[in-house]
Amino acid sequence: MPDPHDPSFADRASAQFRRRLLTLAVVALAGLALLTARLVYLQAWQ
Amino acid sequence: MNDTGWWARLRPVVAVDVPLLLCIVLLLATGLVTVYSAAADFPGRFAAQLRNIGIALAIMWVAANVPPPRLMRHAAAIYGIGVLMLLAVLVAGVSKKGATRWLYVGFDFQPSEIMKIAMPLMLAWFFHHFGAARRWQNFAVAAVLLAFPVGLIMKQPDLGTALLVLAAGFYVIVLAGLPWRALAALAVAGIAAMPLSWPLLHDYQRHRVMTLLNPDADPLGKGFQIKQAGIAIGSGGVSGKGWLEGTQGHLGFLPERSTDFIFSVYAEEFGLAGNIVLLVLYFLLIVRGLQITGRAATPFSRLLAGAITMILFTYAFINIGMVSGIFPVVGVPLPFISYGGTALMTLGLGCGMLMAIERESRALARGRLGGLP
Repeated sequence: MPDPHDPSFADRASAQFRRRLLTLAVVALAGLALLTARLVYLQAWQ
Repeated sequence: MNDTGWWARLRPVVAVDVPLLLCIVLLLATGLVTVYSAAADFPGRFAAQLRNIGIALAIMWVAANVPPPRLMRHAAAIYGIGVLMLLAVLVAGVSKKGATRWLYVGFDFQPSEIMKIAMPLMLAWFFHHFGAARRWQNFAVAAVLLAFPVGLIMKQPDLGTALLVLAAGFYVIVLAGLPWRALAALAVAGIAAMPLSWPLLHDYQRHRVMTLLNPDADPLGKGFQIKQAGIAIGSGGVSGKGWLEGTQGHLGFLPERSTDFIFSVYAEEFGLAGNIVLLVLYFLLIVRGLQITGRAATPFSRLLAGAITMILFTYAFINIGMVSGIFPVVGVPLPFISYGGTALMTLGLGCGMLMAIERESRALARGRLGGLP
């Protein structure tokens, strides 16, 4: 089991957190893009 | 902004994050303009919304002045009080329109609103103290801490709030490092459980799903609201009909037009151009929240900031998705825009916490963490 007090463990945890955050940022961006596409369809296309 | 001159002297007193505050103020102004139009036939609502905004900004300022370590010390107690109040609703709650969601404490108070903030607070506290090793047992305990209050809220029933509380906790668990294979298994299990959960839904919830799948089935009955919202959005076109000129809203075709369905009034009057501006404002708000999360000083602050930011996105995504016919109708307001005090105050509290976290990371970066007030 990794030692949480080991500095390299802290670095890895931080890198993992940043990857997770980036994933959620992409999810949010994709969500806003989906809403934009839906509104363009309803208001400018239909 | 440089910490020199007058701003350096003012900053400790003001204690707010200017980019975040700017996004919030622009959204609140947009909301106020829309409430003025949407609630034209409810004359007291505009003044009440002004008062709500004042209270929400005051709550935000107070929260921005609470150092995250102090918040962390009280996280478990806040969660415990929230759960006890949800249990009290079950036993002695006030019922309105078939739902039992309130406690009478001199006025009707909705405890589930507390859980929108108490849940990420509790799980961030939990993973800060016990999550470093990322053991399966920790994720199992977190799942129980999440599922119990969500179950109580669904029982009221209040699907919208239950979804938001579930999402808030879920974001903390994902950010805390739940393995991808577990996430994939959860997604598969969730999809597989959909047919099984159908009989557990209330009648009105089943009607909402059926209305989404076929809005034309009952256009004058159960599908009226979503059908009229669609007409309002579409009739706004690219440039909109103009402020106070929306016919769907002003002729009374849109139920709940100043609360959960306010987006249809906004979209009719300001059109696609206005909608793009609104989505850009939400985008900037989320980007600032993610910046604050990325710079946060402790695991508690990181997890809390990430969950609050993603909840802001979830509010906007579900509300606009619901009004524009992507999702079934659930009771989720449009953040900073919809009329209503409780949601505004919860949002103010969450954004104040984001500001406190940003302040903590700035202080740490300068090597004077102990100097926080």
